[in-house]
Amino acid sequence: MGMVGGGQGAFIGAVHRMAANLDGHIELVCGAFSSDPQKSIKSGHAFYLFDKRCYGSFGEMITKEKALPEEERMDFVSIVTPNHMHFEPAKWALENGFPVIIDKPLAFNYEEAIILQKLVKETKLPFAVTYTYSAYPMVKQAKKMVEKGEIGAVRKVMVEYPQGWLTDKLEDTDQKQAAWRSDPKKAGISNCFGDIGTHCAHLAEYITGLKIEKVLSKLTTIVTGRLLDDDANVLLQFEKGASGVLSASQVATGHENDLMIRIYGEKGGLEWRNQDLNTLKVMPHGAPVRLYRTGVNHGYLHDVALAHTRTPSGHPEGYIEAFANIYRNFAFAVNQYIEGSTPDLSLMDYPGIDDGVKGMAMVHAVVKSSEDGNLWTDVKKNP
Amino acid sequence: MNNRKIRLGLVGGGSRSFIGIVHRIAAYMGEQYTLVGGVFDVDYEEGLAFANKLELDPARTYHDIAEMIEKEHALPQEERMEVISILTPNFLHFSMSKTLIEAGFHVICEKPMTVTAKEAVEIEELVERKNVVFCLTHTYTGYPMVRQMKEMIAAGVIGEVHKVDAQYYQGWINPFIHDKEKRAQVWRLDPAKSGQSCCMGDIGVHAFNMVEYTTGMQISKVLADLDTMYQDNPLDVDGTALVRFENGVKGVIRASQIATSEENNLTIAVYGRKGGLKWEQENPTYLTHLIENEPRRILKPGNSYNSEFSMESTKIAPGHPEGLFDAMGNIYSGTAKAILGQKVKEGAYPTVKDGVRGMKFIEAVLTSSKNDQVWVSID
Repeated sequence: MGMVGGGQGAFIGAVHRMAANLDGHIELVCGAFSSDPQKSIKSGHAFYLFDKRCYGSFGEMITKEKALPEEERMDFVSIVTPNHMHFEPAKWALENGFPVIIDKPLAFNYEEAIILQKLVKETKLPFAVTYTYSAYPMVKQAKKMVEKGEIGAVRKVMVEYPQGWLTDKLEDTDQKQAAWRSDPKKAGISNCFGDIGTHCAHLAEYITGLKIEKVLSKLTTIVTGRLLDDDANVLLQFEKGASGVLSASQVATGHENDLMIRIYGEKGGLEWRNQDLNTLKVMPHGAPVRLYRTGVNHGYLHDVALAHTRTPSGHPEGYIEAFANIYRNFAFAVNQYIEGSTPDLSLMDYPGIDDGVKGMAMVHAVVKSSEDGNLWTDVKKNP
Repeated sequence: MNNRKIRLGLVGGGSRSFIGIVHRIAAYMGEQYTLVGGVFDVDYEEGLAFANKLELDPARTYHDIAEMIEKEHALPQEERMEVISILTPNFLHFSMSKTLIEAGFHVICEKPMTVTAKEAVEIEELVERKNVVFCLTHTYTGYPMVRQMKEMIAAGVIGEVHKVDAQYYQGWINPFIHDKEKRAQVWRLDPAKSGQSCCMGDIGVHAFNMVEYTTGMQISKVLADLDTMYQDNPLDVDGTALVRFENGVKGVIRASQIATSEENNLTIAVYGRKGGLKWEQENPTYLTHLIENEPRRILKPGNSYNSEFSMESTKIAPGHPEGLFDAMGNIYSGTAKAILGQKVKEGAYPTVKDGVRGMKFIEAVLTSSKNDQVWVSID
């Protein structure tokens, strides 16, 4: 693995490295951790890399790695930079034959996303977008239960992601996370919806298997002087008639990462919360509520949930493990690509380029709906 | 005669009582009782003021039990009190129950029923001889999900029971117990008022009752370790008992009043070969059903999957929580049926037998602890 961004002190870069390491399938061999070559080397040392494989730019990394013998060269690129620096390294990597795993949102805008999608389709290279929440075992379980009709046809989705960390104007301090997310030049056209609203939308589509076709949104900037939205309320129209509500906020004072989704079908409901992630609440119509719990020993779970669990029940797995599930599945896909083998990877799905493009289409539609005075707006279909 | 309200009297339970309001609301809830009078307070004037506030007939506020019995007996039978709730401190329960039963009244009594097991047996014999209804208010047995738990265990849903764990943790005594002056002022720590035990007598016995109520099994032996914390404090404020049932099954009963900041954390868990059932008093509308190799289930009151007994113990639609008053109300309802001579389901209200069992348990744990923790038979 070669990494772009994610030097010492970066939040998500460290998460990606831990996740990549977790199952022993992936080794970090090089990186362009910073645009300053000295800083990049310093970070690389902390990750036990040789100086010569700590690069000052992604361009240098891709060019030089490509020149190395096949058995030494990195096998794929992990991109963990802020949004405005997603497109170029991803494009370069794909054009030079390297699979890519990238943080969400996929790109700075929809147009960039479409270009990347076209490249992925042409090159057939593995490409992952880290919509982390879709990789939790109980989310996989929920998806499979919906797919098998265990709650009947889905009619209604409620999904929310309240955070409270931007209650104050944190971007005025030297908090890097807040600074780039609220800067239109780095984050793109949306802050709150782009960062966490897209997680909600992806999770809803992932579990239900239904695409969001239309949105009616109201984006708000609650903290004075902030340049982008910090609060988002969106009505959703899914294909096949299901309706939904999405609410995301960064000024929900006191909240941490309280993502919650509830899905209601003809025969029952499902509820999953990020703060109690190893429990899936299943609400069959007219019967007692059932609490499904993660655990390799829980034979009542679907195979796909078991395939994303490492420990026996009662020993909690969390965020890093979910992230690691994406990395592991992606690593299998990369191996398959390199070796040309055809193992059965049907249980090993991971969010890909189409999910990334859909995310950008959602951001685009939600911002447009809000700007147009809260009108129903079509979400662009994946080409 | 069935479609009438039962005439209720109170002893204690006036404006200075905590438990009085629970009993009054419980009695009103099922629309089966009408409060006609009583001895509301040791201070007659206080009692009278209370009666006025409740718009009761002042002529039926009495100075003491003797006056009450005499004057009520003088009334025509269709006006006379039928049942009397005893809500006084523990040491008065026995003598008052005895007097009232002998005078032919039905009795609803706060727990503990008496101070000694011997007294309890005496009450039991008296209840049988006088053929009156006696209800001991082990309130928690009135919760719909506790009743559901009892019925599920009886129906074999969790299989043969092989482990029981009950606890009742409170923390209210912590601010008093560490100060000599303060602990001397606590009536529950005064043997003259409280009886032989504080913690086990007040709340350990609730846990004990819940165990026998839900499992339908009787505890035959205990081994207990009680703590008074200070030499000058005569009564226990914390205790743990290992218990054995007649059929050899083992369990634990834990009680504390020094579990700092705990409120009324009564929790009971019963495990069998096929599954388990767990219930917490502070979240009374949830019953957790653990099942081997299946997702756990959460049962809630008022849903049609519950037993008839549980359903009868709920008054409103699912999702509107009922609580302590409602549980006590269910016990008052069960007692009312018994008083009116209607068919009463076993477990619809705790009886004098539960009171005797409770007193025997309290004495057994005290004996065990005093003798350096040895097994003591309850019987």
